[in-house]
Amino acid sequence: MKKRKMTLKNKIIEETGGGILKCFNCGICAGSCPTARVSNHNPRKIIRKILLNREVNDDVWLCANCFMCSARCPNGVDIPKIIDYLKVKAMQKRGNHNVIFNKSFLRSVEMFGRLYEAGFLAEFKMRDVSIRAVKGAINDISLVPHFLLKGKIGFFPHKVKNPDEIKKIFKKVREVEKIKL
Amino acid sequence: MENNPGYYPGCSLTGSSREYGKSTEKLYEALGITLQEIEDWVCCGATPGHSSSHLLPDALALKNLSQAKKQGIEKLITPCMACYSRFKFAQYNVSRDPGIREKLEEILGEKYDDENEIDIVHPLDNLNELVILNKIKKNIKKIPEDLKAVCYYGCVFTRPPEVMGVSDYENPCQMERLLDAAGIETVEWNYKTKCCGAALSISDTEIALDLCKEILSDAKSRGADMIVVACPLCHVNLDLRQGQIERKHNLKFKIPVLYITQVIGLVLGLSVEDLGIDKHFVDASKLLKEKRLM
Ligand code: SF4
Ligand code: SF4
Repeated sequence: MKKRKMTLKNKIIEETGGGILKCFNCGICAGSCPTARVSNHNPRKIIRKILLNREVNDDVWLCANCFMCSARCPNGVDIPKIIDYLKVKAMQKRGNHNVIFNKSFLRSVEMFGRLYEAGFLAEFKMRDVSIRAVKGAINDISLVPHFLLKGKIGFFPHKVKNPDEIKKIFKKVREVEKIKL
Repeated sequence: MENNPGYYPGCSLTGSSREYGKSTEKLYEALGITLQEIEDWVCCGATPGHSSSHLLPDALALKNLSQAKKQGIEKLITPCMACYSRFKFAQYNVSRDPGIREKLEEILGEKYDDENEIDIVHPLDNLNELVILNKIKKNIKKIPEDLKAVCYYGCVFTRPPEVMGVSDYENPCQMERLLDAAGIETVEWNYKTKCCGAALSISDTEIALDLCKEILSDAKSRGADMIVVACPLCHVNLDLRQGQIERKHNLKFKIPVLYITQVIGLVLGLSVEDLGIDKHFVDASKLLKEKRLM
């Protein structure tokens, strides 16, 4: 039997079901997408490129996971699931600030069982040294007095009683899913 | 008699959005309902979880649900929309996909128990249950004067519709019904279930600022005095970042953003401090005094 070539398209069909094949390129997803209005993100184009076996060089991190596209798609294409597939794939490589963001967040959960906000934000802002990030950080500094005054941020981690159980879950997920995390 | 409902506060409600946690707890206390917190609960993984792994978020959710079952919890109140969504997704996946179930059972080292599936409930639905809604109506202490609100639900309370179990995903009405019971007028608007940018607020702030500018502008143009929300991320983006949005787009909004639990708490006579309304970025006290809620 001839083996199917493992193109991105075939891989996505295998992992997320064949729903993507039903896309008829109507653009309702793009018209419904909030971030498409304010950036160059375009879910229709991402789906199209996958179907045509073109390289998908889009910034998938601009998807906010709002599920409007899939709710309105006349063919029920699960676009957010397909984009999540691309995000998980992108997480396997060294990456941009979104990859750093996710890693910093999950590091905190793996260590403490819960999100340690002050620690996670500090790690994220320190490891992300792009110009965009520096501008963002300077902008956000204006919010710090508010957080301090209103006592809104936890400066100390809350740790679960049995953090080893959580570390074990992370370890098992890495093994079973064969991913870096 | 039904036993006490379970309660999963999650990281936001015990951290930067603690006023949502506090107001939820105070409101339920005022309604005479004891919430049973899941012991030693763990984070749901939020957006970074499902962007990094297909199995981790479900595994974390099932870990919490398994602990809840040990405590005899049948109904779980989950106020944070992100956590609420992750729990619903986990139940949806594990009950429909045998492949995923097998992997999750391997990760957690225990069988998933279908028999006693926990009912994951958001306060918006729970407070609308007839017995509770009647209790709210009977206990109203303060009637606001000519107060207009828009209700902002955000994304995941209704979407994906098949996972969240709703049919009308663009026009939910739970908050309208609650505010109506509280004597607060609600106005129709365009952004009920449109996205605020969610977690992009931290990683790609400009996008969130632009999306929220549209939401705030529409609320203002519809003549709303305040925006009522039920999600910590929506609150951060609309309240905490409101000053940044005003500066970026050279506009003035100064529109208070309150959690539904705070608004209902107020009409039931709870104090601004108890409800954590003094923790917000946009000061609500002038409006609340004017409308006789304070
Ligand atoms: S809405 Fe559905 S069918 Fe239309 S372009 Fe988008 S994915 Fe394709
Ligand atoms: S889920 Fe992503 S791609 Fe779909 S409408 Fe929302 S932001 Fe756009």
